[in-house]
Amino acid sequence: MKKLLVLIVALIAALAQTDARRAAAGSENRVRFRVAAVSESADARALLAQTTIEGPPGTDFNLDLQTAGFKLQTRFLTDLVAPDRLKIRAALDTRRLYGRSPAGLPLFEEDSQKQAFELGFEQTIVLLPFGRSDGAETLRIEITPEALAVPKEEADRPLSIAFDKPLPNGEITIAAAKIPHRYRIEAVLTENGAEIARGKADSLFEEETEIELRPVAGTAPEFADRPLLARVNVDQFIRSRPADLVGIDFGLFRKSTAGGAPEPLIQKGAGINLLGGEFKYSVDRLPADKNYEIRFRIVSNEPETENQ
Amino acid sequence: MDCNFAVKVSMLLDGELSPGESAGVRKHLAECTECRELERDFLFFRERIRDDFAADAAVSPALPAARRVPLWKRKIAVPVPLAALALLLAAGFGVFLLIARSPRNADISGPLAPPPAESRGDSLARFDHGGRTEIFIAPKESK
Repeated sequence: MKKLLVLIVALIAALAQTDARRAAAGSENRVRFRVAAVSESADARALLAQTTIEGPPGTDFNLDLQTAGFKLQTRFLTDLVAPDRLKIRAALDTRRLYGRSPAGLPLFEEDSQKQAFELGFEQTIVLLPFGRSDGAETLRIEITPEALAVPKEEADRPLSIAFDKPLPNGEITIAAAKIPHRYRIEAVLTENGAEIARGKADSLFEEETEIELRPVAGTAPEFADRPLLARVNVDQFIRSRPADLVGIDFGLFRKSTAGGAPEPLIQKGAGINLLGGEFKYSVDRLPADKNYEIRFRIVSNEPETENQ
Repeated sequence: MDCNFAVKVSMLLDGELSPGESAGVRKHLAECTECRELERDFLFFRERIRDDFAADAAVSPALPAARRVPLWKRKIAVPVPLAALALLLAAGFGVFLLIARSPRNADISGPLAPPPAESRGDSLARFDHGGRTEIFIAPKESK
């Protein structure tokens, strides 16, 4: 009897685990964002507009709001960092008419904010375009993520936007896109054309990544004690054919021996190239009798789908 | 007048000499015709001045003699720190006026007052009270 009970419990646990795994595997496939504009006061709440964005994990969206004297532009980069966690990077830019100059020209107050969050699917991002107002009606834009479990064959369908309840005057606009967010960056240092140090790292779109270049075996021992550091940010992705384009900005440094700040060799470097193409820059601040070059190659770490 | 006792004669009449000096001047007056004439002149003018004041006082007895000085000739004594403070305040006020009336600031209108609610209709501008955009995470609204 006791053995039978243990067997039943084990069977139930195994079934529950299988269900959880299936649900988790399914929930990784699609993400839905409900974007609701809500008017809220102390005693009332009214839905003004609602839009639903649905797409693969990593779907980004822009939300713009424009009235006669106010403009808000937002950009949300989203990444599924765990089956139940999203990373959201938000950039908010506002511009509000302030008054008139002596020449009668419009004067604006401008504001830029960048914030990054990690949130679960039981949470909501709340955006207050006009800030808080004590006692008066407040506009809230609530962005609620939802994980969707879909059959494998539906996982790659294009992203969609449904304007469930549009604003009559079109003061809020929403656009969504899916671009690769995960890249692998390879960095190589050459001396008179020969590779002497290299390094690589995985990187997220619009996030600076530090790569240490270690000497290739048997070469450049002078770079073993003071290796080079490249800080690279993939900050542009342009859909193009026959190949997509990526843009980077970077800095190149050499570690100091005393543990101080690294010595800058190239500051504010930038470039644009085909995805998978080679970015080349000469490094003039290393010993002048040799020709040094730093080379970067950016490749996507995501499988290309029909959405991309 | 060649005698250099003139100043001392005036001081004698005003009672500004010590007893010893007074005795010396009186002795000189006894010997010097010019200084005696000068003494008489001083006394004459002093009497005239006294009579004039007496006549003015009879015309306007309520006014003290000192108040008779015309306004544009009057002087006031102000302590130096007070005068410096007044000067600083005046200079500060002048600078304030210059800044306030400079073209950069004088004609900038704003911040703009929001238009009346009724004129904004359904526009989201009715929520705009000039606040800064905020973003935060909150628990999901229960339905």
